[in-house]
Amino acid sequence: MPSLLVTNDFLPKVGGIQLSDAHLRHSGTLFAPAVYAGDNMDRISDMELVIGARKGDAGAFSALVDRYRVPALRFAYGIAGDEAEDAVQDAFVKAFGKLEGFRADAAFRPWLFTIVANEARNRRRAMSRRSKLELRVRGRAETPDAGADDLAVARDERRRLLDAVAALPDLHREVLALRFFAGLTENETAQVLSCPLGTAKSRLSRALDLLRGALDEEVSL
Amino acid sequence: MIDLEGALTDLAEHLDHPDGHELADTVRDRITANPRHADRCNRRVRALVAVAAAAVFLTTAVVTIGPARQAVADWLGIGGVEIRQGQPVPTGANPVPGSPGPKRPPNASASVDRAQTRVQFHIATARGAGRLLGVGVDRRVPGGLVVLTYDRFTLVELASYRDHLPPVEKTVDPKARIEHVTVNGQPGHWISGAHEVAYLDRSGNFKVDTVRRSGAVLIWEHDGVTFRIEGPVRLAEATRIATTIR
Repeated sequence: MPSLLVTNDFLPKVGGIQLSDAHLRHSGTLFAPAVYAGDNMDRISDMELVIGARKGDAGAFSALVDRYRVPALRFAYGIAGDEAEDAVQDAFVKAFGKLEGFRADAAFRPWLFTIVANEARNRRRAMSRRSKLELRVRGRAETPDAGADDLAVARDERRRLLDAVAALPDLHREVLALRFFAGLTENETAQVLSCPLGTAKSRLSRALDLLRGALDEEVSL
Repeated sequence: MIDLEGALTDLAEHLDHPDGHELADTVRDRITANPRHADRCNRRVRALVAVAAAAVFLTTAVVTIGPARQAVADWLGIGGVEIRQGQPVPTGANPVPGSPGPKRPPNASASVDRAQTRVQFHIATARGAGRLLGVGVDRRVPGGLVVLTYDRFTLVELASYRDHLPPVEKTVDPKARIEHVTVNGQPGHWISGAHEVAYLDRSGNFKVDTVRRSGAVLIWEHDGVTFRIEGPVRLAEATRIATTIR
C-alpha cells in the first residue's frame, strides 16, 4: 500500500496537543483517534470534547467521563450512598444519548449534573423504601506527617459531620452535595435544581442551618 | 465556631465512594453495546477496522480512476468533487482531508486570515450560523483545502479546476440517497447515507481519507470554489447555513 505524505499542516491538533506523525502512520490511514490525556487536557474545553463526541469520537466522551467522574461520584454518593457508581454510570450513558440535544451555548457541567441528579434521586427513592442512607468516610490516613491521634480525631469529626449530612432531608442534602461535594457554583446549583438563584441560595442557607443545629445538638447531648 | 462550609469541602475529599477508575471503560462498553448509540460512537473506532477495506478501495481507485475514469458513466461532477456510486463504503470511512476535530485556535478570525494566505481562493465563512471554533488548511489538495469547524457543522472549501482532475472524489454507497438540489442559485447535491472521500494528491494519485464519515453532506460550487457542509441532518438546515456563507 502506498504511504501517505502528510504535511504538518494537517496533523490533528486538539486543544493545542499536536498528535505525532506516529499516530497517522497506522496502516497508511489518515485517521488517528485523538489522544485525550496528559497535562494538556485542561486546555481542551468541555465544548470541544462534546463536539468530538457528537462526531463519534468515543475518546472525547471518555475524556468527559474522566473529567467529571470524581465530582459526579461524590455528589451521587451524597444522594444515593452505595448506589452512587451505578447512578453515575447510568447518567453518563444517558448523557451520551442526549448529546445531540445539548445546546452549544449551554454549560456542560450543570447539564450533566442534572442527569446525574435524576439518576441518583431515582435510586434514592427506590432505596429509601428499604433502608436509611448510610454514608462513610474513608478510613485511611491522608496526611503522613500528622500524628495518629490527630488523624483519628479528624476522621471522627468527619464521620460526625457526614452522619449529620446523611440525616438531613433529601432536599437539603442534595443542595449541599451539589455545592460542596461536587463543587458546583451557586448558579450551577440553581440550574441543576431548576430553580431561581435566590431559591437555591436560601435552600443552601437553610441546609447549613439545619446541619449546624444538628451538630450543636449532638455536642450538647 | 466551626467553619461548616470548609468542613464540608474537606469532607468531600474523604467520602468513601467508589473510585470509579473503570467508569470510562464501562460507559464506553455500554454505549457501544447499545445499537441506538453504536453508530455515532463507533464511527471513529470502526474507521480503524475500515483501514483494510479502504486499502483495497485505494488500490482499485488508483487503477480505475486513471485512463478508464471517463468511462465511468455514473459520476456526478460538482466543482472540485466528483461523486460516483461505488462499492459499499466501509463503515467509519469519511470525507476529505481535514479532520474537523475539536480544535479551537486562540483567535479563529486570525486563523482565517492566516489560512487565506495559504490557499488560492477566497475563503468564505458562514456569518451568523454558528460559532467558528477552528480553521484548518490542507495543502495536500492542489490549490488548498480549508476546513472551518463550527459548533454544529463543518464547512469545507476547495478550489475547483475545470480542466483538471477534480481534486476530490466522493464514493457513495449504492444505498445512499443523492438529491439534486439548488444551493444559492447553483446546482448541488444533498447526499444522505454512507459515503467516502478520496482526494488527488500532488503525485496525481487518489488517496482515501478515513478521517471521518458524515451522515449527510451538501455540496455545491460557486465562483470557482467547491463548498461542502457536513453535520446538519436535514437539507433545510444545511441550505439555510449555505445562505449565510459569504
